Amino acid sequence: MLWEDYKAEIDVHGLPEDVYVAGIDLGTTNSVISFWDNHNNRPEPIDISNGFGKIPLPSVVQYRAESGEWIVGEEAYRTMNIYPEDTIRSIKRKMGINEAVIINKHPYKPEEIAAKILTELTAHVQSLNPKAEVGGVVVSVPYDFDDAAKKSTMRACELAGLKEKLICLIEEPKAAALAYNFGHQLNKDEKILVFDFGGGTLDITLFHVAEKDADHIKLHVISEGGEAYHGGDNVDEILAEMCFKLIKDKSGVSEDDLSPENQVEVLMRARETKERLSGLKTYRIPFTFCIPPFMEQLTRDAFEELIRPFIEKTHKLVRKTLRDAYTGAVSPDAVDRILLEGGSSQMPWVRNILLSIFNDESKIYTSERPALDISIGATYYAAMKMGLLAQPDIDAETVAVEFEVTAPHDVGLEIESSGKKGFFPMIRRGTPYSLAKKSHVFALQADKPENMTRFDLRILERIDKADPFEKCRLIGGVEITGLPKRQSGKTKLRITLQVAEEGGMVSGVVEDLGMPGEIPPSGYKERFEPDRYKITRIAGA
Amino acid sequence: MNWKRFRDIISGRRPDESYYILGLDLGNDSSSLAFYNMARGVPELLDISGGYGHASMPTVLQHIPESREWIFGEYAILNNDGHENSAGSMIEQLGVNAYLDIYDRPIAVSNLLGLFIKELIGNVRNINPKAEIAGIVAAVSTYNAPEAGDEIKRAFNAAGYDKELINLVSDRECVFTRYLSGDNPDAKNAVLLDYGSRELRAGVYSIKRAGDRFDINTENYMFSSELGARNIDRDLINLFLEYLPPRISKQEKSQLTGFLYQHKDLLLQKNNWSKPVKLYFNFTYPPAQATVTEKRVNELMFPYKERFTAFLNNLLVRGNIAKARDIDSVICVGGGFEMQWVKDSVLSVFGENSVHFYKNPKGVIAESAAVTAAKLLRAVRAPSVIIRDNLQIRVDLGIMTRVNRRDRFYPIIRRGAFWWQETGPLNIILNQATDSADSIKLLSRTDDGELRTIAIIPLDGLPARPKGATKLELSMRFENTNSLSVTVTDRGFGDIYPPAGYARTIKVNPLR
Repeated sequence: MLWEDYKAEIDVHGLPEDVYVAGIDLGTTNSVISFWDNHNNRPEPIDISNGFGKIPLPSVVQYRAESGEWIVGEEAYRTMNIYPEDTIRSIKRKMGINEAVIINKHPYKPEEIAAKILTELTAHVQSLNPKAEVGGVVVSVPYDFDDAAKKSTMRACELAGLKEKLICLIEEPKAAALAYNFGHQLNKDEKILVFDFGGGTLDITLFHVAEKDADHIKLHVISEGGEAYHGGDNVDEILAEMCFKLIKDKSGVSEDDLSPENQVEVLMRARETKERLSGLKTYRIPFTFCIPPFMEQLTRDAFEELIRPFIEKTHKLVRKTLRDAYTGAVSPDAVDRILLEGGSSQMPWVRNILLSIFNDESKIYTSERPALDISIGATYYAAMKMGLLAQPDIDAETVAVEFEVTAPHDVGLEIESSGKKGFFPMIRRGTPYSLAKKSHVFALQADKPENMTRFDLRILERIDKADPFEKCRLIGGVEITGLPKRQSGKTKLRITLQVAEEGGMVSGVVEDLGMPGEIPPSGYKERFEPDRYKITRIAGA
Repeated sequence: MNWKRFRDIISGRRPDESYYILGLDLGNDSSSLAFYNMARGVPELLDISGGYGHASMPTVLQHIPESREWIFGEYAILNNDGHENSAGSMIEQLGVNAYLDIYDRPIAVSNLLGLFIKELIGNVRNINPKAEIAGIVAAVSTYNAPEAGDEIKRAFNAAGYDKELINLVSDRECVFTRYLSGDNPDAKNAVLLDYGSRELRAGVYSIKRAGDRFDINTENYMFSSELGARNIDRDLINLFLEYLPPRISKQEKSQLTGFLYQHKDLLLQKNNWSKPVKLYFNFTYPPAQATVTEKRVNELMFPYKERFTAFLNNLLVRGNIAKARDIDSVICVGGGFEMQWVKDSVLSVFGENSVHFYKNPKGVIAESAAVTAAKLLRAVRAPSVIIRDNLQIRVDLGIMTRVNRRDRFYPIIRRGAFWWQETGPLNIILNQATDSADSIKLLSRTDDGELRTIAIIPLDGLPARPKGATKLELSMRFENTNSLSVTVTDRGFGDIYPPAGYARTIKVNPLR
């Protein structure tokens, strides 16, 4: 049954008891699923810890060859050092990259691993109600995910059996802002910077409360920054490198000579050190797995010195987000509140750099439950799309929320001019999704009429506006065939690109316009959805 | 700012999210903080971990001399390295002006608790830097002596929140205020089970509604320290030690507390044992592993389960409840209810219809205290709850003593104590020669300070001894609410005056 069918049923009869509407935060380090609690009219995170006393599920997947079983979550995380070669963590960082991970000598695509996490998460809905079925689900992705990474996430949903249930993807800062909006009072004209610092990604999004009255709020994204591969995992890696050096100094064993088990042990100690130094000023790292065992003391100051380049980069990313606002540079004084989200924002230096930029401690807010907000926001969105927020009982939720989310990257075509390849932007970053549909007319040229019937189109994405053509990422190639055979220059094609309002997926249309005033259009009009890993072929009627 | 000012600001106004109405549950093992969400009209637990781990904060703090800092909660537990720099179990030490040695420096428990309270409440400003604490209700254990309350107030003073503290309210009153205002206002009787670290406490109550007021009478009240969750913790640590080499270092042993904190839930909260639990002791050298089966955990819990069921049955018998199903509300609070076998046991005795489990049992008292605070600040309409307790002693019982040449009343059993509570014996030195001391007067002291003689214990039969050379042991024990047994025994005085075998027991009704 499709989610739209469930919606139709909900519109008539309300939400059936066994149907669950869910929101999933598929995170680099932890993943969370929440469901819409129809009795209390609010999202409720599901405790998926199997008794570990905490809600988030570590995004760690492990294969145990001896029993042939897949282990997902806390147990997999805690036994990484026992099954180092068959344990995969931070798979989110590989989404959209066509790079297989090898488990038990078998290559797996990143989406196949992510699908195991999604399957584990959705299976926990059954723990609430054995008859439960998921009626609709919204899955979050970082704002900065490129098109291929989003498509990879959708494929993971498909593999997890959620193809028909997936309502849409939602950008993580949008989910965070949605969750925060429902729990707090935002004021008109307020500018809110959501600083979402997770295990893999830093998403910095500046929202403007464009409209606000008793029953309506409009949030407008006015700037977006951060980096898709800048998160707590990077800090772990720096600390792990330091640990490897220490082991070399103390016991003479280099990183390469350490057993895979101990290499993973080092990574776990690195992460523990980072977490402990968020509350302690000094931590003694135990190297009990080394021969001889030893302890090494690390102060918070020394730790921050060690990751200084990373801290400085974070600082620059915040500044850049303010500078590159679509509405013109925003001064730190103009930002009214900074909302800290994500586990990595618990590191004390994060607050310090924000304080150095915004110079006002009273602007820095922390979410009540940063670990859960993204999934809560995704659930709110799922509930909105399923029509569950239409007649709520609670005052705080009668407010209709409207987002004006903007395209995070430039989207365009590869063109060739005077033998030189270049990027032709069609949709510029900062364009609201609702307006992110642009057409351009191109004249087709070829050496002979037979070659006028086909041509190849390459859709590209420019992540940073300063990136040269070589750094642009491919969204997908489209092979267009079946065009009318005409003289060179006598075919005009209208190419339209569109970024979908939900989830930001790119699609397009090719339309033959003929030669205005000379040759009528042939009626050739084809829609395409580019994919980075396979050529999309369209051939006309 | 004083909470009374906020009461005036809040009443009748649209809720403002910068005002926080707080409820605090200071537990011996872990403490919880909740706020009353005025927009939603519900209490919400403030998740100290931000959703990453446990919502409550272990009531532990630790001093790090190198960096001259105090660390709190989980950080303090996990950082335990065996040095004498941690303070835990503070709540049970309240009421006697106790001091704890932190690196050989004695620090008053109330001051340490003050540091802890400051840190715990400070979390509110982390979430909202513009937060104003409108008022706080701290839930206190029913059995706490009044002196413990004084020390908690001193701790709030040390934390800088004395003006925001509305009052200390008994945990029972908080829970009933919340339960009867929202969860089940039609309850006619109730069993309140509070499963904490020190004890399992349980009461049977009858409830009568009179307009906006609920009169609650305590039919029976019992406790069991044998069932206290700390005993289970001790057994689990012993279980861990079974898997470790026989000689582990002091440092490794001290890490077991942190290990227990991280793994206890895993062993006890599972309701579906598809496979055994593997434990990885990474802090030992060499690292050790263990496989714990469901059978092993069940064996460990079996004696507790038996005692627990017997305790519940005994509670009902003493509360004159013929059938468990006659109870219409069984309210389950306290961290003990995170354990699956405890829930199963309660359900097997009372059935599903009447039992009320909360989602976060550890946080229920804090949430209930937040509702009580909102009520006292007039931010919400909630009924008054008056709990009558015939099982509590309403007067101080003691003797007259002479200190610094002045006669003073010395209380032995304090007002508010329950009749079943044990009181240790008191050693007294007679300041008269035995031939001129003819009796000891037992006195009661009312709320107004009025002293009344309730019994005279004759000292006839004591051998002749000079002034200051007779040590007597005075012990008191209630047999029921109306019958107090008082025993005076001669303990002699060193080798010169050995005990003469004098002992006298009398029974009195202290309430008459």
